[in-house]
Amino acid sequence: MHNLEAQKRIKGYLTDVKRVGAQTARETYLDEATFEIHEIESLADRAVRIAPDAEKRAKSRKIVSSVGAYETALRQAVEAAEKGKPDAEVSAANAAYDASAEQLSENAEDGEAAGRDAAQTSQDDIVSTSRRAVWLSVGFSLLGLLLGITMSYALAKAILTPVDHLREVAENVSMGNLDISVRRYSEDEIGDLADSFSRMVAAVKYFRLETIEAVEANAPKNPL
Amino acid sequence: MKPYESLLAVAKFYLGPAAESFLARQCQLVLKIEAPLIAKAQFKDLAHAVEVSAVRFLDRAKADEMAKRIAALSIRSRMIELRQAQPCAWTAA
Repeated sequence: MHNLEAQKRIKGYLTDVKRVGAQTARETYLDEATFEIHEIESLADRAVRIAPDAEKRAKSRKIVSSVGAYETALRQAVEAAEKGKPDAEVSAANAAYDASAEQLSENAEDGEAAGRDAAQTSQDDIVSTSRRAVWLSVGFSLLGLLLGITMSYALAKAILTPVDHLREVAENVSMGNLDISVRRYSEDEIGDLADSFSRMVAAVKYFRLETIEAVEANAPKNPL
Repeated sequence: MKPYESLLAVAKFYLGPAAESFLARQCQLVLKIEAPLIAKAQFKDLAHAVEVSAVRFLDRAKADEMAKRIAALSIRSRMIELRQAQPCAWTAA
C-alpha cells in the first residue's frame, strides 16, 4: 500500500539524518519526510471519506491520528540530534520516534487490509451493478420488441379486416350476387368507402329490379 | 331548403343515383303526388312506405335507418315551425 511504502521511506530518511549529521542534509531529509507525511495524511483522509463502512472508516482515522503523532516524534528526534542535546534526551526522542513509527506501521498495515477489502467490495458492487444493468437493458429491449410486434399485428389487423371484407363484397357483386350486406367497420376513410360501396350496390339492385318490372310489364301476354 | 331537397339528400346517402327514381315512385304510389311537390307533413307517411319497400334492395337495418331519418325530418321541420311561431323567452330576449 502507498501509506506503508511512504512510511518506510520516511524511516529510511530518519536513519540517514542520524548517520549524516550535517545541518543541510538534515533539513533536506526533514523537508522530504514532511512532504511524505502530508502525502500519507491526505491519502488517509481520502480513505476516511470513501470508506464503505464504519469499521474501515475507523481504521483510516487511526492512520490519520498516528501520522500526526509520528510527525511530532520525528521533529523532536531531529531537533534533539541537531541541537546536540544530551545523549539521554536524544535516545528518549529516538525511542519515542521508534514507538510512533511502529504504531504507524501497524495502523498502515490494518489500513492496507481494510483498503483491500473495500476495493474488493467496490469491485463486486460494480460487477453486480453492471450485470443488473445488462439484464435490465435486455429485458427492456425484449419488452419493447414484444410491444412493437403486438402493436404492428393489431394495426395490420385493424386495416386489413375491413379491406378484406370490401374485397369479398366486390368479388360477390362482380359475380352477380347483389344480396350481400356491406359492413362499416370503422369511422374513417375505409368506413366511408364501405358506405359508398353499399350505396352503389343498393342502386344497382334497385335499377335491376326496376328493369325487371318494366320488362315484365311490357312483355306480351301468353295466349295460352 | 325545400322539403323535397332535404328528403333527396337523405335518400341519396343510402341509394345514390337511384334515390330520385325511388322517391318519385314512392310518392306516386303512396301519396299520389309528384315527388318535388311533397310537403313536410307527408314525410311520416312516406317513411312508413320506405320502411317496407326499401327492404327489397337494402338490408333491414339500413332500410329502418333511412325510414327513421325521413320521419325525423318531419319532426325537425315541425320543431322549427313551432319555434318560429312562438319563440322561447331566452331566444326572444
